Amino acid sequence: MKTIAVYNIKGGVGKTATAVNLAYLAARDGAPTLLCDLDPQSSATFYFRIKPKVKGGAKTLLKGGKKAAENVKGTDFDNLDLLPADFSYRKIERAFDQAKGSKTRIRALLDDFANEYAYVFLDCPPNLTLLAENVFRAADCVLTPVIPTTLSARTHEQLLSFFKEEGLDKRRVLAFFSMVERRKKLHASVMAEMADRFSGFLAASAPYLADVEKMGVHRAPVHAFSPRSASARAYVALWRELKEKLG
Amino acid sequence: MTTSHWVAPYELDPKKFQTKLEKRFKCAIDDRFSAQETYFDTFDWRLYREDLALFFSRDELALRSLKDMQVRAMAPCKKPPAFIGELPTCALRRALEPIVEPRALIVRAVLRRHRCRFRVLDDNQKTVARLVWETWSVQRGREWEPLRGRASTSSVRGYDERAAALHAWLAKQDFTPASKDPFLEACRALALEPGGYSGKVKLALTPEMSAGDAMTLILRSLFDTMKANLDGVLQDIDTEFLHDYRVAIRRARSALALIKKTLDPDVRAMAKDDFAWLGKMTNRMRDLDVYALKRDEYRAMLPEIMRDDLDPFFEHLAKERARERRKLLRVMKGKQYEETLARLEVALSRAPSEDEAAKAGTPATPLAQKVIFQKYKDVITDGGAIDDDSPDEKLHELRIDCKKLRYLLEFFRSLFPDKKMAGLIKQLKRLQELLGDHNDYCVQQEALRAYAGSLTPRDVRDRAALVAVGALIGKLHAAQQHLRGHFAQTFGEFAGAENRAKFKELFLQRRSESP
Repeated sequence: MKTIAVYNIKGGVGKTATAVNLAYLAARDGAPTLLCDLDPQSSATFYFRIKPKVKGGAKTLLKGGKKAAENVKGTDFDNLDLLPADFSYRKIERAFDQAKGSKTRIRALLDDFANEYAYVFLDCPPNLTLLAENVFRAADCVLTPVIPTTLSARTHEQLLSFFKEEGLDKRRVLAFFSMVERRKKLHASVMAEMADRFSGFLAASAPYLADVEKMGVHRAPVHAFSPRSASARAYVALWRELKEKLG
Repeated sequence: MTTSHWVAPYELDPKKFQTKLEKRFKCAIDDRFSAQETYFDTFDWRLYREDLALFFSRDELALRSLKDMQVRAMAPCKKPPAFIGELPTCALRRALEPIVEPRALIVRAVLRRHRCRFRVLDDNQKTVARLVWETWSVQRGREWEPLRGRASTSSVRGYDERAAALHAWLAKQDFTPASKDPFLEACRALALEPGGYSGKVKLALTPEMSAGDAMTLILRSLFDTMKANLDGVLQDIDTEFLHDYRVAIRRARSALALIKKTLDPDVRAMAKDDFAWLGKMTNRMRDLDVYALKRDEYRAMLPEIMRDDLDPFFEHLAKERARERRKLLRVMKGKQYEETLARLEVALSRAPSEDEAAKAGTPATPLAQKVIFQKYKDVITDGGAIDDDSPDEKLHELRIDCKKLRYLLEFFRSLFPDKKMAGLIKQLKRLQELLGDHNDYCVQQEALRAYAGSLTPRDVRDRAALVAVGALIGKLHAAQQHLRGHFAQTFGEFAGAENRAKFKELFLQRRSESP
């Protein structure tokens, strides 16, 4: 089982769209895939038309085991399941404080799914919290969508130094440019500069396109309603590159 | 996701079904699909015996399990193959070859299926369960006969209660869980009995039966097996029709020779002659079939560079086979053949009375015990006399004795405890396999040597064939020697004290009991 955490300290960078579309593509390849929506905003859950409800909320999630697994829902697509978000996740930090082994709760939760799924995607809320730290320890890869702006370089720097401080393997951080607008000169120059400065940037990127916004209307991954669109093709390329990196 | 299969007690009206379904559940149609499926099996139902159904549909050959109705393997295929070996190497071919070869695939049924896939939705238009209904019909002459409607449901993880609601609704529409595959239902509609034909002897004799009745039943059943294979022999569908046809004749001849005084002497004499004549005309044909079946085995015995050099040999056989087949067909379509079958048909239609045959009225079991034990003693005596210096003919004679003993055990199997009989047959089979292979190797060496004599060393192709045949003879001889070296041990195992005790227990009669 490979675990991919889609994460950025900043919000609004296209994390959920990435997690939803990549999980869909992994499942489409025939691999049993689970998407865990850890964000109390529950956007990923919404895209799959599933009710954002986990019985027992954050506590159940962190306890793991059978009780947590019972909340997994099948999506409308073969091989793709979802562990929905719950409103109680907004107070998940408090639940971590009460749980034992507070830095490895998410890893313990995912271990229970190891026999069932080939890929697990984690859609994470922004901010550097205990949840994020848990996710970093559980993931084989921390996939970071980065909007090519000057500020993004700073937050990316912050993430990498956090990894260093905590003794985590920086090589597990893979970044790609998200919401790229080709016509903006600034985007092009920042992309060139960042790719130069940081290792671990993927060649594939996700453009800023209306198709992605339409996911909210169709309530489905882009590929499911518009397989030939530029966005769908971009995610296919991104998934292909990521899959190869994961081995 | 769990899938469950359901069957309606009636022919399904898709429109009505849909209306009813939509009244109860919010649904969306995924797709509709129609296909014609042609189902295949071998003449002796080898696939059915393995709980498998093989069908061709559009450009695909697919294998379904009759147990859980799931498709197990598929292969692209433009037109259905007559033999599974005609498919390019693929998972499907690999799975089926050991089961069906060398038998041909014959059409068992043609079915039509219409399918519609529904998704059951919740208020968010989210799929919470899936349902597929299917209507099936089977071709019967020019008509299509409807079969019972079917439905299958799949639950979606986390929404089991919706699947349960669907099941409850189906039950209310009088659907019941389906236990039988549509193919089996089609067989029933066509009055086909899956597994009905088998080349094996299947007789249900009873201890109360008289020897005359038992003998008539044995011969009748063998005659029926022979006739069942007649069409396949005439059409040359595969080699096993002729094989089964010949085995039935050989068994009948053994029964006539070994089980005496149970038929009217005139009937017996006539049947002996008739079966002998029927068998003899096919001897050469079977020999030629055996060589053709050995093609891959022979090739594998040679170094790779020499394998194609055997082609002239197989071409030579194929030509002779064509000639032999024309000859056989002429006889089988002739008057004498027709009369012979008619004569046997009448002769085997009734059991003899006590006046007609001395032992016709005696009970069957003691007679069976007597003939089996006598044959067992023959095998032990003849086999015991074989040592390393004995000529190959002695092994051949023992092979014939073993065959006869085997036939007797099979004819009378139902009169004795089945487990014990199965054990004895298994033991005997092991010895028979060694003797059979040994004999094959001997005969084939001779045949290859005779063929080599017909080749002209000046011809390039013939010269290569000559070398290949020479190498093959060497291999066959080595294999034969190897078996010969194992004979004493294999025979010793069969003739051992343990088996002797079993034969004595089942078949040796104490004086007071003998008839």
